[in-house]
Amino acid sequence: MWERTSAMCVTLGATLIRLDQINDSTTFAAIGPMKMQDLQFYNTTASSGINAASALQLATTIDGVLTNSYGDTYQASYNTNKAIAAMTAVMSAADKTVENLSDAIVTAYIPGP
Amino acid sequence: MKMTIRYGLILLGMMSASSAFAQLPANIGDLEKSALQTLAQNPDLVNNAASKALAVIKQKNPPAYTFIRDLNLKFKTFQAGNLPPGLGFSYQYDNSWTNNVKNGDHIFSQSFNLDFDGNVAFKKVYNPVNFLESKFVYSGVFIWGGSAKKNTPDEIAQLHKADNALFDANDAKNAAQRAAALDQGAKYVSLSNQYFVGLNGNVSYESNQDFSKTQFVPGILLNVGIKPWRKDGALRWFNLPDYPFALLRWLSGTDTDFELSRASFPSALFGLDYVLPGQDSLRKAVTGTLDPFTRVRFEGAFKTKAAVVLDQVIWFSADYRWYHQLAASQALINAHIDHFSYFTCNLSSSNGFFVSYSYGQLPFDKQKDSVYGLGFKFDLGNWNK
Repeated sequence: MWERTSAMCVTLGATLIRLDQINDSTTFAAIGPMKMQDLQFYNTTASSGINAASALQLATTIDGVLTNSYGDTYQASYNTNKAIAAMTAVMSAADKTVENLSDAIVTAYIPGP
Repeated sequence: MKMTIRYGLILLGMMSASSAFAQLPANIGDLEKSALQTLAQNPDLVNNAASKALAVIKQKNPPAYTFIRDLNLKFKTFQAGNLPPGLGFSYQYDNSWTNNVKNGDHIFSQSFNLDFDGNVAFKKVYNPVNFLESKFVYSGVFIWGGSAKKNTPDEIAQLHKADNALFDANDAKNAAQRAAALDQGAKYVSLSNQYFVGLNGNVSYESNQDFSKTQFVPGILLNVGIKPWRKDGALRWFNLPDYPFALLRWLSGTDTDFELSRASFPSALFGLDYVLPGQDSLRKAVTGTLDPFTRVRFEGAFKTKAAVVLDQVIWFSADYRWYHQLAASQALINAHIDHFSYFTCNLSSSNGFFVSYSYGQLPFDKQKDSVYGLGFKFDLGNWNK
């Protein structure tokens, strides 16, 4: 699901822009279908070791932004470990989309106030 | 299950059709030959048909789909030296199990990864990147920093308001409103610089595409990275490879000021491998034996935004790999198989267009050569309605 009415989707789109992962003039509708390899952190020429490290590094940053800047909390069956692992699993795959990442985040986090 | 097998056969049939592009048998009829050539010259037909087949398999969600879902295939052409272009594909499969423990502003992450990676040409003589790698990795990673300031409920409300204003401005293509929304949002999202150190233990099996040369490689890797997230911090000025691209972004009007990217700081990987050669006829011919050896290696990777053209971001990606055998004999040095280096870079956009260049030689590559690429990429297994 990638909808403008979802606070989580808007939060993720704006966070990716703020973290220089996508161009700041990208429309909300265009962000959802973007693949991980189209984001800044994913280097298609690099080995999987480097891309996995970059994905983990960005996932921890996004977790910090969601929980501190936006006041999100974890769903009942999730904690920091599971939430970061869920995001990293999506972000390590070149052809996963931002919408896929958003779905993982919606499953793991409860939106803040 | 029957359906899965049927679609698998269709896919294999189409791949066979693609391989026919490299060399069509002389004894098939003109109609069949024409059909095969049409398929082979339009890899998007193969990709789309395969993606539709995968969509049908996905609906039933059998265990096999979980494997196929994580497998990436990309059809491509190879060209090296004076050889004619050859058709083939690159493949990649990654799967991992992870445990992360957060304590204050640092995280300790442990993971187990399974990784298969390689390039296969339908006629192996055309493959200049003749290197397949299958790997199991344990990873322990420390991450410091990258933490965000805790906001109050009022500040969170202001942040949501800024986010909505940002996307309203982007829909309206209003640059002034966008800048104001970004400035407003930046007041409520401030991050510290982030440092990353990872130590990996890995076991890999390397080979060329017909497995006539193989070797078993255990080793350790040290992975380091930095993200200078602080906007007013001095660390981002050390992002040396980004200087020409910051200038290009500024001159092309992509950025309003000369500004170095905070996200594009290069990543590096240092490795120590203990190599047990399985079958390597060249090494055996040079040394007379296939003794184990110790190898150091380095990889540096960099990706940054080069420009934005017609709303398409043009990314520049580069990767350099270097392998060096320790205490190599004079015979290996004279045969130039004691060290290998490989550089590749590309300019690519999200609409699939790419221009690439690579130079050098990975272990098992037959020759050190420059390879240029130009075209569009199609991703198998990602059918979007």
